[in-house]
Amino acid sequence: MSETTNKRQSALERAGIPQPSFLKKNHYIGLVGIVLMYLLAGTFSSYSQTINMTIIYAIIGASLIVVFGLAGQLTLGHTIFVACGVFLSANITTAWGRGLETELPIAFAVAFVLGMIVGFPSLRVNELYLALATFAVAFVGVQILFEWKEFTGGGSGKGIGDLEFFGREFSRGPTLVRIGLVILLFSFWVVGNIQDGRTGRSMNALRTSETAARAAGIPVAWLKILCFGIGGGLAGWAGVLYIHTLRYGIPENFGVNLSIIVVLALIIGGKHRLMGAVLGAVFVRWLPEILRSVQEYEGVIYGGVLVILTLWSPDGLVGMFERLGGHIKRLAIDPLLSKNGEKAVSEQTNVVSPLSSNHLESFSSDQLRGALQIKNASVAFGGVKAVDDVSFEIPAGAVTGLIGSNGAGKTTLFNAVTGHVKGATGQFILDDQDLTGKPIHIRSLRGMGRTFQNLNLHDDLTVLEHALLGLDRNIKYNRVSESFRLPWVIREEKKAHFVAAEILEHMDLLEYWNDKVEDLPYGLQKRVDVVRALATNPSILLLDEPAAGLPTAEALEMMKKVKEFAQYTSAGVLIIEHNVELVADVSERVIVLDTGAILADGSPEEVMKDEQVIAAYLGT
Amino acid sequence: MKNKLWKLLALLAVFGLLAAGCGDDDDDASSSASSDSASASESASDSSDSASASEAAEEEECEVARGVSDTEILFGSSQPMTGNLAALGEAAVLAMEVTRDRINDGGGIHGRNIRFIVQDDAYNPELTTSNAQYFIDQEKVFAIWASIGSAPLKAAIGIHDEGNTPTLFPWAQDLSFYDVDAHPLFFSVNPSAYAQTKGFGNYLVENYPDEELAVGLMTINSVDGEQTVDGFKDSDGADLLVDEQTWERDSTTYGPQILSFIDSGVTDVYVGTGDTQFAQFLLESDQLGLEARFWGSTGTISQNTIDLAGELSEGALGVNVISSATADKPGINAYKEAMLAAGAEDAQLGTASLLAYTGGLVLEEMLERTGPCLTVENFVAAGESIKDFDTGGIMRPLNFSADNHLGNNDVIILEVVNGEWVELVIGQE
Amino acid sequence: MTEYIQLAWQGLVSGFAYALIGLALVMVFKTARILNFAAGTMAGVTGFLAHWWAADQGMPFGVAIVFAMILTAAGTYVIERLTVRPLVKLGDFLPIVIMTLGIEVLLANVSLLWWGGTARRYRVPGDIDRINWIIGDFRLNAWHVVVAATTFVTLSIVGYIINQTELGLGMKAFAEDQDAAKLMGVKESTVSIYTWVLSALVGGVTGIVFAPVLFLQQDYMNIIFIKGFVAAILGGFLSLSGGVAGGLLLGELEAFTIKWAPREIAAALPVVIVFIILLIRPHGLFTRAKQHERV
Repeated sequence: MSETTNKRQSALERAGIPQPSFLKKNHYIGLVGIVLMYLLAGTFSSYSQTINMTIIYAIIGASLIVVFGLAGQLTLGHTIFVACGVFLSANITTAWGRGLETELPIAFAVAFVLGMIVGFPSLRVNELYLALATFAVAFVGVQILFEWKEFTGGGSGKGIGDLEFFGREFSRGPTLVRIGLVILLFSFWVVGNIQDGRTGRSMNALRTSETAARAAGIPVAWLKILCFGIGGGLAGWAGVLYIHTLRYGIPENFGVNLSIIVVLALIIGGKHRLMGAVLGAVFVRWLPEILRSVQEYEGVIYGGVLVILTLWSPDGLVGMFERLGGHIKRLAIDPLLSKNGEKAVSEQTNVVSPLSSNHLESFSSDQLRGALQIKNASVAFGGVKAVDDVSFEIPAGAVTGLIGSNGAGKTTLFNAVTGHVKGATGQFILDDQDLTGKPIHIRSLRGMGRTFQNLNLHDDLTVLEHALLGLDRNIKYNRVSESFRLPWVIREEKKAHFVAAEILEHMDLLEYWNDKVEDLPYGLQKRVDVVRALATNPSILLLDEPAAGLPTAEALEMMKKVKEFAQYTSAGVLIIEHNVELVADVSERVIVLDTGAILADGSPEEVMKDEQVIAAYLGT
Repeated sequence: MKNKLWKLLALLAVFGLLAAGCGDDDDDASSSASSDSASASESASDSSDSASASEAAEEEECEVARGVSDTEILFGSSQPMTGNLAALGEAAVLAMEVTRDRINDGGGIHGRNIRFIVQDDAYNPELTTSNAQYFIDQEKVFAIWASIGSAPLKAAIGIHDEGNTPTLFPWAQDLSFYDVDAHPLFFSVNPSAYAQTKGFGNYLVENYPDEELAVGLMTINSVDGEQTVDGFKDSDGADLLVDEQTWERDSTTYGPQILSFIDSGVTDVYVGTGDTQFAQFLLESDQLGLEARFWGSTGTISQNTIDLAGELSEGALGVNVISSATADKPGINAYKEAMLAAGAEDAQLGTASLLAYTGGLVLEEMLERTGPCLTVENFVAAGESIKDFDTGGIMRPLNFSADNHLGNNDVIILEVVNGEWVELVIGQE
Repeated sequence: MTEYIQLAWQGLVSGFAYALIGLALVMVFKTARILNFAAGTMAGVTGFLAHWWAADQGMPFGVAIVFAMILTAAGTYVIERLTVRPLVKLGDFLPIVIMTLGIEVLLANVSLLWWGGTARRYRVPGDIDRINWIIGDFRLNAWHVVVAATTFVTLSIVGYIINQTELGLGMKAFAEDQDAAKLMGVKESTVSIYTWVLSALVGGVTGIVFAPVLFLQQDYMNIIFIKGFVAAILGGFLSLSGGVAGGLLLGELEAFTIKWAPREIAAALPVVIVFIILLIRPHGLFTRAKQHERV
């Protein structure tokens, strides 16, 4: 495929990064499991009730994974969506006499919208307080259901009509288990696809660092609301199954208690994995089943197991099994396989720069970009003016250094430009687009890329995923096609993976593609930060002390790479630095900031000679 | 290579799924058959298992129902043994144990002993339905015999019916259970909450003709509560109703409701609650100065009300379907003696245990009448044949028929006199 | 007029319970960032213990209470050390929340096995919970006065500890900024354990003084717990006085809505009002949004 422009093997292939495909190994495992259950449903018909409840809890778990496991929005009001499905179903089957074909879409749609409404407070408060606010939602929700007698039957509850699908009637029991499994399969598939696609990546980013996610151009607010919508909709499906299983819905049952139990189930299982949803559901539904013979002590044992399990494996059953699997692998399987040796990243046979790769073609530009105008920028904290009426212009494609002593207001100015500080005044114009007052992610989408002084990476995400995050804007598929992993989703994902790998290679990070960022040494983490910014293909790249904490040689090497990339994409670079040597070395122009105002401005040579600068900053 | 294997497996799996899905026609037929046989005809197939040993002996005569062997009849009982209704569950189970021991010590019924399995449902329908299936499909019980938890039973009754499993539920408050067409296997002895307040309204009009009455109703914000109000509104006393208040399961005080009753100048307050709440209501009424006659519903009539409220319970009235659990009547004396011998606390003598006990008497009679050939049909027929069944004064004589599985429609008025519930008059609905 | 006062007083008495539990919850949350779901059940167990020692073991009323409080403190100490502390190091608050849920289930079931489900009357000396004073049209229950006094004393003691003692200053420092507090030499584990114990004692007091009002039944404190939780939310969950004020406000809201709102919506109205308040001020009434951003 690389014959067209050069003979270079793509970075992705060389590093052995698996290409995105329609199905993954996990899918097969899940599919086989579900099919087995499907076929065996009849055999275990005497457990259908419990199996069905397990399926329902697993679906609720999957819906919570979106809200909570991915986007990190802790909700204690989730059962309101289940209740939504329950009572919609009850009304649709009894009042309209329609079957699942009507229940499922309507339950999803209504719960989806309700979810987005409930998600609104999430824009205003943090994770923990959101938990409390949604707790109130659960509390109020159940009261409203209670009083809304026409819809829910009030205290007496509502019964369900026949179990039908397009007019065909089904018996409950094993058949309902099968229907449940199909819905489970579908929900898991959708959630799995979201996890693997750009939405999942962005949500992961949002969970691990909201600030950085915004800077990478991710629409955090929309995602927060969306996660509640998706989570709500899926929980609505669980509700449909719930009432068909129980035949009866009473508002009282969808209060705070159930909300807490479903969250508990997911955390016990493992909150980031679909497997966790299954294990959690099995835990809460089957432990009582197992303890039937010791009925009297069930509660005590249940509580005890919960306490011990949490102490033993705080990250849930999935974490426990993974560690167990890891031990087994190390002790039993690895010695057997060791002969085969490890597959290292194959050596680069051609020394052609990744920048010549056709995968990065779309990044190259002849048009110089990154003309930044800052007019009368001021930022005040309390009475102190951290930035005081600063104005300057940077021409397109220039590499500019911004130096100044600690507290000179460099980072604050940066934050004012990228929108990370509130209450900044002045005007910011990038390539003739006025970005004044625009939210962070819009500025990023319009071409403002940045790194952070105190590394702001997404723990838990791999290096490759950081690069993909930056590429998010270039990935062109909508979230609906993503949920079903339609062909063009895979195509776009593949494209993005190829690009990401090339950028990683350019920044010498390719061999670490699969490492979690928190496991990397500091120097490499800095480069990951840069990669994420480069991948957004910014018009101007704002580097906040890229050399801090690095040996000068390493910093210079990194800056060289950044400059190469900037030149390739015709972008501008603005660097804040303490390290004057470095700035002088890479910049074409240096601006000196002192106590919030510009002290000097000119070529590195000029500035270094400036007496004021020497006195104020370089002097000693 | 390995990858291919996975794909092959998955492909097979998908085909399997499709096949199973497409073949749903016959599969469904067979599965519904199997689920129906797991329900309707299960009685037949299962009993042939469990009774295979005895088959030789009884083959010609009859094929007994599921859960019935030569020596034993098995029942399942799902009740709240944890949570805030655990006290009722405990009392009911104790009364059931007393019944079981009495029957078994007397040599069983037609040579069969009684056994029952209790599972907690914490008043949660999720658990009640799981329990129902557990009883029917795994423990293969003959019938469900329980007393506490009308609301969760509404979820489970469908499973009982489908599983061809009789339900004996002496304390069912909801009207819908008594629809014999919908639930042909359901038996109880307790008029619904509706019937009770209707009887109460009639009683008021009849017995206080000279007084200006103003009635306040205090009901739980749920199914029972709604039917309670409806019953009163359909009674002769409907016009007397001046104030309706509700309470929630999570109420911590009835103060505001009581103040409202004072405001509306009620002379009689009907409180549809449990005994603990009734005691608290009496306490707070005293604090706030509500001077009225207090009428408690079935759930309030226990020794515990008197223990908790002390002096304040003196003169409180009760609207019940059974006599006082401490009355001096042959049936009740037997109950008291057996309960105390089984280790019951005084506080547990009350509606919850007495109704469960009475249900046991009816069950005994039904089994007795069914004869040795215990099938579901025979059992139901035997139940419907019961006429003028004497409970030793616990209730008025019971009458069942093909379109009435309730047996009892009478309301009994009680009063607390000298720290004991005393029966006043037997009123009629 | 008297009617209003009477209603307000009734609401206030309920409010005291919510306020105290709200305070206990906020305390632990503020210093340790932990939602203690076991707070209600723990408080209930204290109430049962005090009753058990007095009624079943024949101890004098006061001594039984002291014993119950000591056992509560000791039990909380053990619980914190054995179950919460090992998880704090992980830096993730979720396992701790699950842990408190586990403890709740465990305690509630042990309590059920021990004392059974039947409600009991918690007798106080001279049966003063049955004495009512009539002042004009206003009726005052003697035990309610004790409840009010206890609440007042408890709040004063907690206020004193927070504001005047070294422990309190440590707690405050910790609530403000954990890192800075550590630098100042405040030991996290010390602050945490004392906060837990103090919180459990506040809960225990509530469990005891409300036992005669609600009767001792299994999970009688759980209802109070949920209301206390709502109260704490209303107060912003980061302000001790906010938690107290939220509790009192909720008590009054309940009293007045049940009395005057139409029957259909009366039950739901207090929570709906709370919900609307939260929509307008998601960070609660008594804390600034900023405080929550920093959490």
